Amino acid sequence: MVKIQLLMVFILGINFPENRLIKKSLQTFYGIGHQHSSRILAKYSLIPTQKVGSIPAKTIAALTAELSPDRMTIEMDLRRKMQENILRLRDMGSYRGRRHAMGLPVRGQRTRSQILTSRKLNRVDRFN
Amino acid sequence: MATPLPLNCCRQKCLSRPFPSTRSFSTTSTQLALPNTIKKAGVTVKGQKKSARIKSKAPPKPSGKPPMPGERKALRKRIVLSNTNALEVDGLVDLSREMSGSLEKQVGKVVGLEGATVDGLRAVEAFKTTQGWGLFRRPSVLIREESVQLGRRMVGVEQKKETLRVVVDGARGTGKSMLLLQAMATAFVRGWIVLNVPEAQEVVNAVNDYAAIPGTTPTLWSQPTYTANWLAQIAKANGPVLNTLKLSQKHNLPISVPSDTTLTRLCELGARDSDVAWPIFQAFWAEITAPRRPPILMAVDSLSYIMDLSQYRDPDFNLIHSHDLGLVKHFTDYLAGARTLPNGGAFLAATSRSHAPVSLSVNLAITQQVERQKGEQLTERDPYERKYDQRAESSLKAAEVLILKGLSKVEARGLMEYWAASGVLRQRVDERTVAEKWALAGNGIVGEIQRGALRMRI
Amino acid sequence: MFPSRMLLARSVWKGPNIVPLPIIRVPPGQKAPPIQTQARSATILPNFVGLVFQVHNGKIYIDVEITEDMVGHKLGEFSPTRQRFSYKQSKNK
Repeated sequence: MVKIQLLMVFILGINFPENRLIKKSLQTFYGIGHQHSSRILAKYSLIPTQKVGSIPAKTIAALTAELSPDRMTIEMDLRRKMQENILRLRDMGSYRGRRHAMGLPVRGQRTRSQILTSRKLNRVDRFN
Repeated sequence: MATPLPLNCCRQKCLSRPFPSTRSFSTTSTQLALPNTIKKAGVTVKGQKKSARIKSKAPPKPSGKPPMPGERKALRKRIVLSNTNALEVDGLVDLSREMSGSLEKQVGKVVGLEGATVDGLRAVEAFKTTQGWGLFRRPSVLIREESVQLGRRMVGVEQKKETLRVVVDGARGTGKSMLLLQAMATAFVRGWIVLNVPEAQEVVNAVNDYAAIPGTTPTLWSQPTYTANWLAQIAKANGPVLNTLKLSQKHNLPISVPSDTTLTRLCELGARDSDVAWPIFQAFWAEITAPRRPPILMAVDSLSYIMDLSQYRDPDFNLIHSHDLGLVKHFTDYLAGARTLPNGGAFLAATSRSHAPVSLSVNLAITQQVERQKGEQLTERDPYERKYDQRAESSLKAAEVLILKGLSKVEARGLMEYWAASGVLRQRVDERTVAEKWALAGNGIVGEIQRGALRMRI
Repeated sequence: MFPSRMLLARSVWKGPNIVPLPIIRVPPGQKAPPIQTQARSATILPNFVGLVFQVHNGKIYIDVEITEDMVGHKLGEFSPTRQRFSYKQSKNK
């Protein structure tokens, strides 16, 4: 097997320094957290402390294929999906959709104080 | 912080004093000391924000170079085997081939280890940092009753070409790892091949890469890097023996190996490329278990790690059982009696009572085995406990158990006399001191005797 | 992401909250009369699509036309119960 000798490794078009942990590198993608990254690692028999640089090129290619749009919904696809979901709620005029549009808590939290997170996140064009 | 002004000073006095050009870090004392009139006079600068926030100091800059990667680990794992300040002990005999089978006369005495043995033991990482080797002039071991038993058994299996399976257990500090070391020393002086796993934890805690072994059902897993390092260790430790042995069979290996290769060279080939390490280890194993080869000693420390689920995960995200790791299965096959060594040999395992996980199955299997050896009624599983491991229990059924207890007073005295002769114990070794140290150390727990006599000098 | 979240709201064995509603089936082409109801917690079933409900909000009945998207939601979600806050200047201070 050929070990990658480059200083940087490309996964899904993103450049990662080779001394970065693969688990953390995967988690930089929107939509991949602890659970998904752990499962991907297990699927390709990688240990949790594996560095990006020590993975054979074949496995890197397989990882990129794993993250491709037809296998997983991540990054922009996931953001778009989430926005569509909120827009659907808004369009059919449900309570949740209305609360999103107003930037207020959606799930019955109090609004007397501390709704900063809602103001930040609950919007129709939500991005993160 | 600048020197604060005295709190109890008279205000007039303070005014007459020249005001320090640099403000002190805390303004409390100066404000107390200063009359409010100054403020009115317009000392405060306009536009300056008044804030109660305390500015945090910049963190201290690290002085000197930070340690290189791996440097601290090397320091932590460094084994010092010699202390030039310690005295040479007169009349210290070395462990030899003739002596190793009949150690009865040496009980309670300390025997030295000769250079070649020490090199081998160091290569298989039999010495541990916690065993206090750095206190003495050269490595030497105390011969105790159990060492005699084990030595006799080892010579017995060598002659009869049988397989000895022993699990060494005992309370913390009773010398389990040291007994393994003695067995390895015996194996080295008798020309055995020694394979040692110094710490079973490293095999199972998912710090080395792993890969499925193709064509195995249920799937077995190999650990290429660990196996490669292990092969390097085997080649280094057993060089004198393996150099004289050459390939005798045809092997189906991914790399081409000339037919007159020595086994050392074979191991080194495996150590060089981790991808072929596992097939080469199997070829190596087939070679050393071929007819007319020396006996083999396999030793594992911290047994309970390999008697439970490992930290590795299979593609379905389930934890892999340790016995599904190729390397561990290789050991447990011999431990369980599924395979035997045709040229004779031994499988020794020591439990660890300080840092290893508690494995109910190992504890139960050991208890049952002790009862079986004594002919007593067997303890059953606790019906309220679920964490038993059937595979662990069945793999331990065929093994003998050797329970280590404290030293006898004769042995303790021999040990302390050796310490006194080395100049590390500055006390008269007589009946009274020995009895005192022996009693204080929980009836002769050797690690505790050492702690009480050598470490805690009050 | 979390398929279980939908299930956490209500036990699976209960199934959807089916409330007997006075739905009148009319021959195609004619307009069905709106169905007045106070059952805000009734789950919208696939056969409601196209009907008009008048869902009580505590004070009045609000017209809700059921579309395909709304299936699985509750009737009450589409009939707001609270007035939007608006600041009214009072003169007598």
